[in-house]
Amino acid sequence: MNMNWTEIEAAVTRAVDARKIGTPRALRLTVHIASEDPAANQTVSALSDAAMSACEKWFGGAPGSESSAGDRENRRVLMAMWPNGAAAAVSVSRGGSRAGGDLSLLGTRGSIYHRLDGAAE
Amino acid sequence: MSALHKVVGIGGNRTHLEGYIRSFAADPRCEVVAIADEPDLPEYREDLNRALAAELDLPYLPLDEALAIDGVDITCACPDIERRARVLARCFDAGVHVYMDKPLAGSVEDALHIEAAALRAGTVTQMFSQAHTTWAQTARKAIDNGKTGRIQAIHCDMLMAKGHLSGVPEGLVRRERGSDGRFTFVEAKRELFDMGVYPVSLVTWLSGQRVREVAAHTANYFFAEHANLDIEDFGAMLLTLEDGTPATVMAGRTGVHSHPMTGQQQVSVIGENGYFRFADDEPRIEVYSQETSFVDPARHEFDPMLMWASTRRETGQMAKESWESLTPSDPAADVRAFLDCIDSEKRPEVSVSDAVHHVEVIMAGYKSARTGRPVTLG
Repeated sequence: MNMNWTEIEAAVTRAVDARKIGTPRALRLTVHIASEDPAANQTVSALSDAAMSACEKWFGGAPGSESSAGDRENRRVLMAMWPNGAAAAVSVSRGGSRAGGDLSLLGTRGSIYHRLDGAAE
Repeated sequence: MSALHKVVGIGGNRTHLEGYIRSFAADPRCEVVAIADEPDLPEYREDLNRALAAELDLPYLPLDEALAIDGVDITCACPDIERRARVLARCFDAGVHVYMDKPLAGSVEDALHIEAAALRAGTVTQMFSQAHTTWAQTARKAIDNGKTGRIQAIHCDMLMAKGHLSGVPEGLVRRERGSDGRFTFVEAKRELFDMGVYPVSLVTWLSGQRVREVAAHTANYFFAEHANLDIEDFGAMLLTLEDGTPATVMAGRTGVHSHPMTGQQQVSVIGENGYFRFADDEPRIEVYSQETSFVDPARHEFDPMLMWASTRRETGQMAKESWESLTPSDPAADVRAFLDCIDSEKRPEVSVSDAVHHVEVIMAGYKSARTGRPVTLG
């Protein structure tokens, strides 16, 4: 899968910093890495940690609470809430042959969308 | 040839009956014979009910009188949430099949009351859902034919790009108080309830499982109207299904300029074979031109969230037309499937018992958002 989280995060941050969506309030991030994808060496835990780090930047601080499911090796699903009301639903997983994912960042004045490789049905 | 079914619509303009009843009227198997509702309604509601009846050139009748019309065998029921238990039970007691607006009811108790009446009647029930959209049907087939492999996670969104962003006070952090039983407001709706029922119904329908545990969050991000009523404009839930499979749901109303079309409506299935996304308006072509440039609609005093077709007609709001689906969903498909179930004695995809569970999940979501802890369903 042609996914470079650093580039995605930078582009989203540029849009956020330019106030294109107002104040960021909610993230939906789903990333699935195929077993044989070179990106599989980015572990599930590393990617989900990177996504949560980005959230801390966009939402302003650390989450106040988290609910999670799965494990840190192959599949991690978590929902996090911030003291300022922001929220994130992040799912990072790997396995199978078909990679893909999507990002949606909802702000008070608009939204950012990004489709990772992996065509919709 | 006379119609097979005589249909009574319950509700009026600024309810989903606006759309549903036109689908019944367009089906050659049906004759819509009346718009009806309980007597002694608030004046604004009765006026809106009468307005829809007039648009469709139908009589507006008290509910019992309409149910007594010879041959009536279907009601399309969209009364206010708070009156649904009483009105739907009355329909079932009259022995008719009922096409039900979503969500089924405003409390688990009301939902169970409706289910009990339906089971006594033994008639066909179906709640409106997205199960018969092209993209949901594609997801269903991919799961059923093994393309996805065993489901490992499901993520589903219903983020409605409607409403004039009016903003919430700086620093407002929603404190969820749970459901107080009120769901009918003129200018806004509780969106975890109203929008959340779509992804909850899709997750349970696609997985074939009930929800075991709910962790939820509600928020006010976008609209002063919601904040002023102390109702949420956004909700998110982490669901644990019966077999432990995780699912997440995001639901809300995000503003008319937040999406090129009507909003993000999608389900992502993580299966043994990888990632599969199914979305409204995909696959599609995209058209950008002077003709398709969206113009901000005028604000309607009684419908600032742009919820209803009738008010959109009043304000002359143009449709968003930049995306053209290759496989568009038929807005009448859900009603047609309901009629097919009656005629062929098939079980509907989303029956009254399914709808009861959706209410259980959403109410557990409100409780979780209030307490900050996951809620286990009984």
